[in-house]
Amino acid sequence: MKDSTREAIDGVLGVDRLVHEPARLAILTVLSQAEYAEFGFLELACRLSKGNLSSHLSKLEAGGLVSIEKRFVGKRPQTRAAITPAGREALQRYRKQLAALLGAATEQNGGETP
Amino acid sequence: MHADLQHLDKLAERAQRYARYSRSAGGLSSVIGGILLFASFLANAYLELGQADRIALALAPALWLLAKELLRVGYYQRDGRALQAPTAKEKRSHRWTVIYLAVISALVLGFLAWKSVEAGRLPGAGMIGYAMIVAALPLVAWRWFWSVSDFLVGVLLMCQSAVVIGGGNYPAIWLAYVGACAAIAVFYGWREHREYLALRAEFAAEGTGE
Repeated sequence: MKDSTREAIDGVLGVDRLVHEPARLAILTVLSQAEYAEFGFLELACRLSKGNLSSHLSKLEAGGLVSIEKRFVGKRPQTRAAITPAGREALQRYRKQLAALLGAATEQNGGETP
Repeated sequence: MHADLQHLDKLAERAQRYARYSRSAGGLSSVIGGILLFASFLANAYLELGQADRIALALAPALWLLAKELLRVGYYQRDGRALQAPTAKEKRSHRWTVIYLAVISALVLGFLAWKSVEAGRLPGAGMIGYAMIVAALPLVAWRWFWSVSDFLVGVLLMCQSAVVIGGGNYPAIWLAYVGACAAIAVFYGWREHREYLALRAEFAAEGTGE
């Protein structure tokens, strides 16, 4: 096996799976652009159902990548999520890995973007 | 994969644009502020003001801030708040704006205190109203002034409010300067509003899979 192929495979295996899932990646990306975002906006921006969003947020919170604050405004419940420093770091690391993989794959394809 | 990265960049950019409407982008509230600013200085310069008129004019900044909040909650961020994360430069400029206004405010209040000590009597109700508005200026700036439009409209509206409640008037000579500031606020506010409509259209198009 060529070294570059091995490196590419290692790169794929080394990707953080908590971040790699598309819905969670979208949530982290949106949260990285704001101090915090409310549930409703995350639903709109990430195009996720309430149940799906809730489940992915819980996983990200359990992994320490986001913090969640639940409170009541009047009688209405309100959920706010914010990316943690660890979450920001994980997102940056993931993007670097993805860009590196993309670079390696482009090289193997003879300059054609996959 | 390449498309994934592009999609993520697009998502990040849209989130950032939406979040601006929580702080630095006033949209229609800047338009309202600009119109209110010019109208209040015009009334201040040319109308004979009674006590009720003075109170109504003094309430102009409160009306503007109310419009700002209502538009944010009920229109621009109606799908949920996303609080803008200011850049280091924006934070610095906001901090210096607040410090500058706090220093000016302290100087004015110090001067008023010195004058009342010198006169050996408590200031009248008008002067107390004036002092309260001047004291509130840095606090209002800290909470709401995140853009040039906010600064121009907010500072002038509050100065007008303080002067009018204190029994004074801004002369007509101010109208050219105030008109220019109001025009800047209206221009940028309208542009931000158009940008917001474009953003909503992008979200809607994404929803229908276009």
